[in-house]
Amino acid sequence: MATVLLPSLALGNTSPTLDPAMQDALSLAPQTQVEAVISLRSTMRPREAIDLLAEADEVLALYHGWKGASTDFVGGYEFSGGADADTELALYRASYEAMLRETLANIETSAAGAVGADAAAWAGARHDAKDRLAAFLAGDVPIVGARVAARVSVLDAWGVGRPSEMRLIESAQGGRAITLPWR
Amino acid sequence: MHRSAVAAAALGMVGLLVFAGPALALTRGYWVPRHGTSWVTADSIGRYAQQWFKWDFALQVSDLQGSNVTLEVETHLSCNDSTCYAKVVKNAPRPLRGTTWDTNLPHGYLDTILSDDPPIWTVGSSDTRGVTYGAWYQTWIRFEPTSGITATDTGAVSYQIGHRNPSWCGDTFCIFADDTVYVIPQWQQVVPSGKSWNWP
Repeated sequence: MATVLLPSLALGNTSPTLDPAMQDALSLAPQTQVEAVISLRSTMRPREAIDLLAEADEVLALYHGWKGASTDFVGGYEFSGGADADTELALYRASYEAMLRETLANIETSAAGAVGADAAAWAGARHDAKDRLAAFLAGDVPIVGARVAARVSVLDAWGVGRPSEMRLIESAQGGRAITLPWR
Repeated sequence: MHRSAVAAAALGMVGLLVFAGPALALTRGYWVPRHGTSWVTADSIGRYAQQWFKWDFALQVSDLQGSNVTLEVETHLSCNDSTCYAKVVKNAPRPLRGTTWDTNLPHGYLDTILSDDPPIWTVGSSDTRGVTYGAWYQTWIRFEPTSGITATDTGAVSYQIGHRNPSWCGDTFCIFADDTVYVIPQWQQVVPSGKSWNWP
């Protein structure tokens, strides 16, 4: 089973046209396993995103955005695919909380002795990091403008202008707000 | 990483040719961060790399304001004698823990390590417009929990400017390198540690 990578799906492209070269490649391999990146239009919580992708064969990554005081943070969590959703969520939360705490510790170390503009820049970084940790501990960490990568198997012929794995995910979710960035 | 090789390997399976497109016209140095700290160490969950970096003046970020410019922050481990502080076991079952990554760069992404041996741990920005001076930026990658890793290693840090082709694509397989600068040369960071640097 080959793997087709679809970079055209990556970042919020909404034009419902397909790159001709990709179209040719896809038409040659209706049984191909496809790695796709799907953008979610709505604000979602991690659990919702996991549930959303229950139909996929393998969830590769869950990207989520942060709204800091002055900076937007984007991060991700690449799912192991070997655990149930609750276990994955617990692992994700532990990993992220540790990262946020360690970030604060690293800021304090780096900021020691900083003066002038450098000290002010570290103060800004510290402010953002504290905001993010507080939001995370409060459970208020929505996935903003999330991107979710999933690997799904295509089991039937391609549709017109849109491969069947897109319909699979779309139909499985009963009309949830999903944008399919298809070029 | 030579993105064209990665893309060709990935897409070659279906008989596609991938073109890098025209390279950026760069004024050397007007995109490389001027100060930073590289952390390659461990927290309560596991080992990780965190890069902090900053520019001081508007001119220093001028090459990053183009419409299809990308930036990658790369953490290297020397892995002498095949021993590494962190490594990837290719074609192995995924560990029971995901890989966490993070950045406050605009349009952040986790880069593939498909063709890197030893792996280069990279987080990038697929669209650097809006990167500004005077603020600290950071990237974070948590290493996979794998066997055969060692307690110490040596490391290096590089920054790589590139471009997207086609310009509307932000995926790692559409990003092509134009220039690479090591701010911590090979292999001048003792791992685990935090090491500050200035460039040039």
